[in-house]
Amino acid sequence: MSLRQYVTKRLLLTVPILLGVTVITFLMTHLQPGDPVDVLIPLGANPSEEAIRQLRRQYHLNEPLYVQYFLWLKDAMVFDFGVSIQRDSLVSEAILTRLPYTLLLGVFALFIAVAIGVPAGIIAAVRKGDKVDEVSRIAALLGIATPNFWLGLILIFIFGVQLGWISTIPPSDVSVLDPALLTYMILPAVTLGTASSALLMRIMRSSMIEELNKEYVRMARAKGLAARTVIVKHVARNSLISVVTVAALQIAFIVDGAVVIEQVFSMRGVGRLILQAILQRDFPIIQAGVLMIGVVIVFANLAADIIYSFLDPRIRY
Amino acid sequence: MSRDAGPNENRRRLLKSLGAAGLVGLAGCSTSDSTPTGTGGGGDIDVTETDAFTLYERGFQEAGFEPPFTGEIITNETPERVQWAQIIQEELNSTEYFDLELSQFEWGTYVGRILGEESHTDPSLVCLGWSAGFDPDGYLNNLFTSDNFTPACCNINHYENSTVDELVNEGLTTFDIDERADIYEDVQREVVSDSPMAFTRFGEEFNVWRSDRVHGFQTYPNNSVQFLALFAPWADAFTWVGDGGSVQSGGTLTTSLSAAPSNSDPVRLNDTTSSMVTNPIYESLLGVDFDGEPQPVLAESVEQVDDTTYSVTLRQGVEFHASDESDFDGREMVAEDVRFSIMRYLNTSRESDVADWLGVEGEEDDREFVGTVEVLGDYELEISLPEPYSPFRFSIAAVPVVPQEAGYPEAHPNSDTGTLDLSAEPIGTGPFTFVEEQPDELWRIERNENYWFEGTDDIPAQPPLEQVDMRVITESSVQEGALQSGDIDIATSPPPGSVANFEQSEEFTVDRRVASGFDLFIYPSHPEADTPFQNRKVRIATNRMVNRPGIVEAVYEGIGQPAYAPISPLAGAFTSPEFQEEMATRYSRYHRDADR
Repeated sequence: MSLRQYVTKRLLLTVPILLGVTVITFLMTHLQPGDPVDVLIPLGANPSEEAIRQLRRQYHLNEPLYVQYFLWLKDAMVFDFGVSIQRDSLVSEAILTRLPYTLLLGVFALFIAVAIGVPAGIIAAVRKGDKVDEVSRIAALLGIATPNFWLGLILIFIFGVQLGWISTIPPSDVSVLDPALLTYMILPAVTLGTASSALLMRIMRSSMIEELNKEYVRMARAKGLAARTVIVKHVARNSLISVVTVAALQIAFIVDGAVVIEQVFSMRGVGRLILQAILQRDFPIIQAGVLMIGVVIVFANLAADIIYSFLDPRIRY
Repeated sequence: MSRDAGPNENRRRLLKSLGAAGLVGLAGCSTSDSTPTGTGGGGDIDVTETDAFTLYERGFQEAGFEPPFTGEIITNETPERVQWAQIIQEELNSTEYFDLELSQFEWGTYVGRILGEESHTDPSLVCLGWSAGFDPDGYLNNLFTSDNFTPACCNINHYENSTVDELVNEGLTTFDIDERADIYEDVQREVVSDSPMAFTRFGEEFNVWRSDRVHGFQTYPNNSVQFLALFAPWADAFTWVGDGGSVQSGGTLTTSLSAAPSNSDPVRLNDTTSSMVTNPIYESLLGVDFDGEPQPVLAESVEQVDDTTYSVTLRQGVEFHASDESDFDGREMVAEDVRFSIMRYLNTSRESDVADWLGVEGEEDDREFVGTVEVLGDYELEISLPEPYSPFRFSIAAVPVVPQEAGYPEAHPNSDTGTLDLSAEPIGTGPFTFVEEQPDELWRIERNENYWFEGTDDIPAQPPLEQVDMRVITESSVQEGALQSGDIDIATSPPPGSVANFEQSEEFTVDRRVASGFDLFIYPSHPEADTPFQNRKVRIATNRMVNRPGIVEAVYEGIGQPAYAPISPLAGAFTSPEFQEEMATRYSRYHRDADR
């Protein structure tokens, strides 16, 4: 099978996967207790039953669950995700105004995770057993064990309040690629990328150690290649396959972490939007948001599969 | 389950005797209990002079329960609320009459459970916070009258007392403030004596700001109106930024918000933050000043003609803001706008804001308000209520006036979308106009150059502030950090624990005001819930096991006041420290304090 055929097949497969995601999300949001109308009415107000009935009708909440689902699906097919119950504005607009920021944060965090994790893993593998390896092991353990909201608060306290190097809140009035925003994003990205970088480092280290013991390495060394060339060109490249797999899985982790990081760093983002929507039972936003995350994760995994074939030309689909 | 006199029993007796001895000293200040209502009331022993352990023993016997009662305390996830729930849980379990678990729920789930139709049959103890305005009618009515059994409103345990029902109704139709105060004192006596719930703490509002930069700002006792002090000439309040000394015009004030606003249309908004941020943009006929007095704002006067009729004369020359999103250029506000703004509430989630005083009837497409709002001229209106309603001035102050171009909301019988979308762009007559919202991050308003106020010697005609940026900072500790680093000028909700530090620093000003909201601990007292709490002795005993001063200190770092009856000291006309003290001594004094 050629790569093109493989990609086509995978793309076609995403359709039932995403459909499944929407059904499960729909069921989970509707089966949990609580009702958007309860949240819509401020505590202490006592609207008449008739007013409540009117509201329920307006959002089709009086219809059977499967009818509600198909009403939603019918519109979603043509990218109409409806109107937010709480905000009264278009769901697609609410998501699109925040998506670039979350994507930027995610890409930035993944970049930091790879930029720290891969070289650190290589060094630890090469210096296996000595002090550098020990230090990196402890650092990795700390990185994985530190809750990211705590790390975020500490970084804000040190760099924002004590040293005053950065602002404690994001710059206002800037577009998504503005230098001021990119500067501000360093800390959130470091916070978010830390745990992932620790994990990537451990994976890189172990698969490097495995590769280093293989025959071709001895062969390469025997034929007099520089140590650097052996490590970087041959061993590291072959070790990257497992790292790419894990990195793709880390995208889900990063989307997840964005909810907390956006909150701590007071940034706009899809994570916060969905969290708030869940708390307010704003079904249309939850549906569209989860669907979007599903799309991101499916495509991240697809990208990983494609990258394999570049890393190891022997891999054919 | 049989009950034997094990070590627990001995311990209980020991504590009991200590409690009884401790109460002797207090006996002199409590009179005999004259209102035995509900099951297990009065009769044999005087609950006001009996210690908690004797009350528990008698109460459990009368209700036919063998201790310990196994049950649940439920709360939502507000951290402070969880903490005080834990303190009460510990305290109650330590009596060995209870074996209570604590369960936390996310808000949407929690509301569904406690306000559900069957809430009175739920055997759980409910923790709740209640925010309230200046007038006590709202919460007395919603929490204690039989008209407001869930799911209609918020009488969660279906507490029923015909005397309370009558008194609250009487209070609603009594205009003389002293008479009303007497009525509400009677309501409180009835309710506290029955104790369908324990009142634990009156909240406190506070703001912290940079002393060298912010001048004139004040804390409002109700969070929804927290930004009133930005500019409210009718309440003698305005804020400016600069080096101090004389009033300086210009500059941007940056404040924090603890959540992002979700909707800015008055008939749609349902969260405190949305009310806060739109308050400088919208105005009502009347406004309630910092002392809780209704003052004319868009009305020149609101005269009461008879018990149910009010004649309103509007201020002339008040202009609506222009819209950036549509071709509405602003125009003069007239009586028809006021009428429209009131009528717009029908069939919305905020309908009760108006229906409470204007009444509502009919079904489906034929619903309408019972009372009338009649336009007599461009600047004259007459509002006729179906029944007398004493808090009318407070209620009308909560109805912002918006232009008719906004149209009626979807669920309204006259539904037409209008040319203005207030959910996206709030348009009112207030001292500030809406500039923009940067989602989840910022809400920006700027000075209204056409504001109607003409200025006096003390108050400028327009807000000195050129612009106000409200920054959404959800983490309270980040608010604290942002204020320290100078990224914001006012922190509206830093962590309670930081207040003491800020108070010690010259650099910062802390302004605290007791609020009218309170915390509640609701007993499953309805017979259908089938718990020992259907017995009044058990409820009074539990009142005595709630360490209110301890909670205020340990959980809220001293912010707030212990509560022993529902009406806050903020509503000074309706309560007094002596009254609170009396209610505490008789029904709610912390048992272990009494021991001392």
